[in-house]
Parts: sequence; structure tokens; C-alpha cells
Amino acid sequence: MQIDLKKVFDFKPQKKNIYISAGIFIALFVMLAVYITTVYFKDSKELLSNSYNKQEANLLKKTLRGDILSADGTVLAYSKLNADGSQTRVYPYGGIFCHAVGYNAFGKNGIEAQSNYYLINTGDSVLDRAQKSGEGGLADGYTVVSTLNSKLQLMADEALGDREGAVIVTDVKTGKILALVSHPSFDPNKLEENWDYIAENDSSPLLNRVTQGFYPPGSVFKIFTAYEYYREGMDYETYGFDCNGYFNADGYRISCFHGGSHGHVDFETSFAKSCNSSFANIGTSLNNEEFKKGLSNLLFGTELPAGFYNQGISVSSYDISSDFKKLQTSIGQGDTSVSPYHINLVTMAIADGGELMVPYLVDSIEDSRGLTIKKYHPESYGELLTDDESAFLKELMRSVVTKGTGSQLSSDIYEAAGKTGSAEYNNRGDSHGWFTGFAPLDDPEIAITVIVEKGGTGSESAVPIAKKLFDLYFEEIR
Amino acid sequence: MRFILPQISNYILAFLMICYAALALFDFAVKNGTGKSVIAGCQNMCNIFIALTGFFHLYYVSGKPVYLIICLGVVMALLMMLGFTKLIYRDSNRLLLNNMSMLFTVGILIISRISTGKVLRQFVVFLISLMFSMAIPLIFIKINFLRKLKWIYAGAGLAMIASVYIAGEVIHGSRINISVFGLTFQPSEAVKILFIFFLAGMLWDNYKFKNIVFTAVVSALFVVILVISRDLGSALIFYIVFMFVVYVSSGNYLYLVGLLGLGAGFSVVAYKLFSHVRVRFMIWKDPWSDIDNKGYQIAQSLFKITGGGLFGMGLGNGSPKDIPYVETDFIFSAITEELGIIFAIGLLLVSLSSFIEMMRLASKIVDPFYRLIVYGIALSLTFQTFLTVGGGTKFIPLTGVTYPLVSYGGTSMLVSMVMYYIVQAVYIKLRKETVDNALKPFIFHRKPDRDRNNANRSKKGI
Repeated sequence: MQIDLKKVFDFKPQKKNIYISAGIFIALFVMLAVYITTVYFKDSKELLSNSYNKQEANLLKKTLRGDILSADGTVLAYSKLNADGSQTRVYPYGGIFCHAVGYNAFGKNGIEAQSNYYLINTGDSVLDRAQKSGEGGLADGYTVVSTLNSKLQLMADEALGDREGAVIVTDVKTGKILALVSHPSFDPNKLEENWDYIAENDSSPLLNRVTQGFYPPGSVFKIFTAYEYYREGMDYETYGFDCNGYFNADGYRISCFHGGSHGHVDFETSFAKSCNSSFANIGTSLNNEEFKKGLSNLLFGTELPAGFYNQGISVSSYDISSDFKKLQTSIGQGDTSVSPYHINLVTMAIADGGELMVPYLVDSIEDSRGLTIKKYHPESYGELLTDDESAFLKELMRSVVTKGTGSQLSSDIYEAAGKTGSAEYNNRGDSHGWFTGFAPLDDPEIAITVIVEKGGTGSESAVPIAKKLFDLYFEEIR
Repeated sequence: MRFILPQISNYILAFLMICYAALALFDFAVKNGTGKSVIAGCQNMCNIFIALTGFFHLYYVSGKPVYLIICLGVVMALLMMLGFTKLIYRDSNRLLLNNMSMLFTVGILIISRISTGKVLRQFVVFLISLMFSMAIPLIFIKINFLRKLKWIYAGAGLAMIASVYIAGEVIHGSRINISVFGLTFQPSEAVKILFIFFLAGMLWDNYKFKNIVFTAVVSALFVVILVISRDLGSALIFYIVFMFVVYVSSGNYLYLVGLLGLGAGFSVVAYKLFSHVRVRFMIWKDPWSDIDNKGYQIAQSLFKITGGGLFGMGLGNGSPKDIPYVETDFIFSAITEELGIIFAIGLLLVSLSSFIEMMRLASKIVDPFYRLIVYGIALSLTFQTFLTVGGGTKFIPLTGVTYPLVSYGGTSMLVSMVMYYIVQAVYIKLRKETVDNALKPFIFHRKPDRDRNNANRSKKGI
């Protein structure tokens, strides 16, 4: 059959078609206008922090970069105007806050990077700006108020002293980071002059050891093993083990720390006294697939949540592919690596009844009159553990303080709970000292995680630092 | 005060721009002649004040008296354009005239801020284009055989773009320019007009399938030459104009759907075949991974779009030169940075108002030849605006075309102005003939009015 093409295509021109095509183009323009406005409102902050964006230099001709304050009102960073119109960034505390506050050079870091948009924009009214300009000054950038507590931060820095390591203190109910210290630090005031030295130093001062550090967890990992034992429904109440300093299985041997023996131990005592042999024994009874599931519940192998600017947070890993590796893993040795940040997240979740609040560093943005223009609110990451699991682990961690390796933390003012660790990093038995814990037991407020590199046992090196921080918090700050 | 004045001038500029754009859109709702005259008068005020505020601001912040001289020149040129056109052609369309003047004002303001050297050139080009364009309505009124010259348009057009392909200068991989006696010229810009005339000449009285296919083959020649010359923006404009003109002349939506599909198919083939098409596409998808090199322009453009805020950083406070070729392809980004999002959206609305007015005229014209001319010009100008703004904001891939009447560039200015004046010419010619009752039954849908009174004429809606 032949199609009459004339009939198919021979239509009279119509006004209607002109209207339709006009409609199409009007719609395109409307979409374009909406798109431009959305890009402006949605992406401008992100685009402004791009290092290729030269907008910042323009803004700083009119605006003095804003201050960064601690939660208790201490100035952590401010700018001063030089005679030639340039600005110098000053960090009154030198390197003490360097990893949290960051720096304003070489691509920026920390709060300086995260809140850059606010720091270089101003909330001053036209009149204020005119007045300041008349006095020869610039408009003031927004003030960024961090969650950091200057006293805790100073104490943590002092307590860690010359040793390399990391300390993080968080508010378990909100996720606010109260202190974040990583040693060695660097002086952000002299970053530009010393850049080559700082960037190429073997002990990597630029590295934020809290989030980017990668350590064997040692006995701190027993929290995870105990959690898994409970999760698999094992009978922990009747558990018993006779420790004579080592545990043999299939020709492998796991020894207790420095060969000491613990005698007969139940589950709680194994945890409190950190008995390796007993925990190796516990480890053998765990189901491999379930173990993996349990560890991923507690954020192993996952990207860790963070409500602050970071340059990549270490993803924790483990290996239980063979029986021996599984034994080593259950006492936190072998091929297990964690960051102090990860351990702190898990501690926060245990303390807070299983719910993890996402840690954050910036509390609010204020204009130069002290009016809050933006407030950052706590965000929940979700439930890492059930109520029962959390209660069980809290109990165990309390026993560490009452009758175990953390007895130095006994105090009349607060009931602390936690876990120590001594993570061997070479074959000669040298170890990093760990502590992670929270207080008070009934209604936990803060979680503290400490690692002291090459510090020996956790009780010798990390626990005293935690004690100073707990004491300070409960005696002065709270 | 030293601080307050430049600060406030930005709010004034945004306010005037929004007033102007609102009036331009409100104009469509007003039917009586007096109302339209009042609106047009208010628009002229906004326009002149934008020029005065802008140039005084530039003088104030820079202290260079040259801006006052430019200001004087621009205001005189605007008054000349508005006045002379109205004087010579009583029947000219004031909305289109005002929009032209507004677009030129914004363009010259931002160009003089980017480079005081370029502004003189642009100004001279504007005056020459204006003198040339002013004669167009006169020619249109006298001549009636334009529709018969379709093969001349096609031949001349093809010859021009082919000569660029063979003899043109290669600039950044594209053959777009040709130099004659030391003057650089972009033939593809001018060929747009010839192409629209060719389409109208072919399709005004014959929308049979065979004729359309025939037209399509010739049009394809245009597009293919442009694509291999790497003038992707023009190729796209030609294709879109062809597609819509066929759609309207035939009255059959199947053409629109079919050609849209075909166009998509061609794009895929072009993507596979030509590396420069692929590069454009990749940059659009992700300019950030190659920000040092190919993505640099668009990344800088995005910084400008988002960096100025709602009211802009203020003329002279931004750094438009961070974007290479800002004065031609990225003028919209420079405007957004220094004059703000609100002002920029207002500018888009002005372009849109011109489009709607041209479409409105097209829908009123009964003579299919002139209808297609006006329709084609409306599409070409508007689609080009869409390409340059959309490209600079990463809404669509970058094609590197100019903003009609705003961007720096001789050929672009001349061709855009000629296009506007052709629409004016059609408008004037048809109104004149209607009123003279010469082609009474054919030109307008409505019965013509013998009364030459301005107010009554405008009631007819054209």
C-alpha cells in the first residue's frame, strides 16, 4: 500500500505552532534562570573554597578575615591588617590547636578551610562598613565559634608533652569535639617559612594522627571481641578460663602481656585484666562470618562519619582469613589497623546507649556584633549497638577501672569506664599505649581516646593523660 | 561617603534593571497605545540612568575621567538611536528598540570596565552598525522581490562559510575568522541572516515533503561545513533554526520530533567522529579534573557566577579577566560577578522579552515569507543567548558564541543589530502597507484601521 506523503506532511501553517515553539524557548529560559539561582545558592560556598578561585583575594580587599574562637571564647585565630593592605593570620596558641583549627595557606586546612566562606564574607551593614572604612579599617568577616574547649585542649597538649601521639575528647550526646591534639604539631604562624621542613619531616607533623593515624589497636580491640561474643549469644556469665600466661591452638601460641599469668579468670576479669590468653580462647569460639558482620557494624571497613573538614580519614581494616590471624585479631594484634578517631566513635556509641552522634568542630557563626547567624546542630549517625550491647560493654569497661588495668581512674567525683591497650608494633615487644573511655558511668558525657606512640603499656602512658582530662572536666569545666 | 556611594550604586543598578525588565514584560499585558508609550518612556529613563550610574561609579572608583567621556558618548548614541529611528520610522516597534538599547548599554558598560581600549572599537562598531541598520527598513519598504532570491542566499551563504573553511585563520583549533584588508570578519555570523532568508524563501509557499527534503539537504551542507570548521555553536544554531522553521511552515509536529531525534543522532555521530566535540562534552561533565587546562575557563566562569552575590561585587571590584575571552564568550559571567545575580537575571528577561515580542509579531503576520523571517530571527537570537549563558554557567556544554548586542565583537554586533532592524523593517513595512490599505486582506488577521492615530493603531495589537 502506498502512503500518500502529501496527506501526512501537508499541513497548513498555524499560529499554534508559533506559540508552542515560543513556549519551548520560554521554558528553556526559565530553566536556565532557575538553574543559575540554584547554583548560586547551593554551590557558591563550595566553589569559593576551590584553590583556583581568585575571588577570595577580591573579598579580602574589603573584609578582614574573621576570628576563630573556642567554645569558651578564647581567640584561636585572628587577622591583622598590614600597612600595605595585606593581612596576616595570627594563631596565639601556636601549634596547640594546629590540627583542629588548621591553617590559612597552602590550600587551607581544618576550620580555616571548612568555614572559609564565612571568614571572608562579612555580615556588617552598609553603615557599619562605611564607618569602619572611614576609620581606615575593613569590614569584619564572620566569627567562627568552634566546639573546642580551650582548657581541655591545652591540658591534652601539655599532658601528651613531647611524646608523639593523639588525644581526642568528644561530647557523646552531641558529637561536639572538645579537644583534638596530634603530636608532633607545627606552628601555623610560621608555616610559610618552614613549609619545606614541616612537609618533609619524617615524623609528619602535618598528619592529623587522630583521623589519619593508623595503629594496631592492641587490647583496646577486646571491646570488639567482647561485643561479638555477646552478639553471638554466647554464655558469658559462666565463662571461665585458666590462664597460665599463654594459649596454644594448632601449634600457634598467644602470650599474655610480657608473659604474666592471670590464673582463673571469668569473662569480666579477662576483660578487666586484659588477659590475652583468655581472649584468644574467646576468639576461637567466634563464627567467622558473624565476626565480620559484627566488625562492620562497628565501622570496620566503612568510611567513618565526620561533620568537619578532613583530608581523608583512615578506614580501619582487619584480616581473619586464617585461624592464627583470627586469634591475633581477637587480641588486637595481627593485621588489624585503626585510627584513634574510629576507637573514639565506638566509645561514644557505647557511652550513648548505642547511638552515635556525628562529631563536629564548628558550633556557630556570628557576625561582628556577636549575633548568631548560623548554628550547627548535632546529627545522629544512627544506632551502632543495641541498648543491651551498650549496657553490657559499659559494665565491662567499668570493671577495667574498678579492678583492672585502669584503676588509676578511680575518683570520688566521677565514675569512669574504659579500656587500656598496649599495641605491639615490632617483634621486640615495644608497644604504643592506648586508652579509650568515658564518664560518668550512669549518664556519660564525654569520651576520651588517647594513644601515646612508643609509650609502653596503656596504663603507664595513656591512662594518666585521660585522668588529667577527666579530672579537669569534672572539677572545673562541667 | 567615599565608601557609601559605590556600595549603593549596585543596589540602584539592580533596581533599575529589574524595573526595566518588569516593564518589558508588563508591556505585553498593556494593549492601549498611550500605556505602551508611557512604559517605553519609563524604560528609556531606566536605561539612561543605568548608563549614568554605571559610568559615574566607574569614574568614582577609578578616578579616570575617560569614563565620563565614554558615558557622554554612550548616552548620546542611545538618544540618537532611539530618536532617529523613531523620527525616520514613525511606525517602529519601541519595545524592541528599547531592548536593543538596553542590551547595548549593559554590554558597553561591562566592556569599558574590562578594557578601556576595547570600548572605543566597540563604540565605533556600534555606530557603523547603526547607520547601516537604519537603512534596512527603507530598503524593505521599497523592495518586494526578496522572497525570490532564495538561491542567491544559499549560494552566497555557502560560498562564505566554505571560503572560511578553506582560507580562514585557525584560532584555537577553530576556523571562524577571515581577514580582508586587515579587518577580521566572522562570516558564520552574517551567514545566519542569509540562511534564514533562504529557509523563508524555500518554505513560505511550499511545505510539501519533497521541498522540505530538498531544503534539508542544502541546510545540511551549511551545518556540515560549520561542524568541520569546528564552529559548533553556529552549527547548532543553524540546525535549531532549520528545525523550528520547518515545523512552523509545515504546521506538522512530526517534523519537530523527527528532526529532534535526527539531531540527537547526529550529535552522537559527531561525538564519536570529532575529538573536539568529545572534549567539549567532557569539560561540561567535569571541568574540575582538568582545571589547569581545558576546564580552566568554565571553572573560572562558575567562580564568577557564584562569587558576586545577589547584588554583585560592584563594577571595578571583581576580576573578570580571570576568564580567558571574557569579553566575547563569557560576558554574562563578568556581568554576574560585578552586577549580581539579580541584575543578570534581569538581563536574561530583557532578551526573553525581545523574543516574546518577535514571536508575537510573527504570529500576527499573515504573509508566510515575512512570518518565517521574523520567526527565524527570533529563534536565532534567542537560541544564541541561551547557548552563551547556558555554556558559561555549565547548564549545557560550552559552544563559545557571543551574547547578541552585549558581547564585544564587530561582526556579532553588526549582525545582531541588522537582525533586530530586519524585524523592525518587517513590522514597519507591514504596518505601512496595512494603513495604506494596499494588501489589506492578506497581511493581518484583523481588519486594518484607516485611522492613523497612534493610540488606535496600537489597539490592534501590533
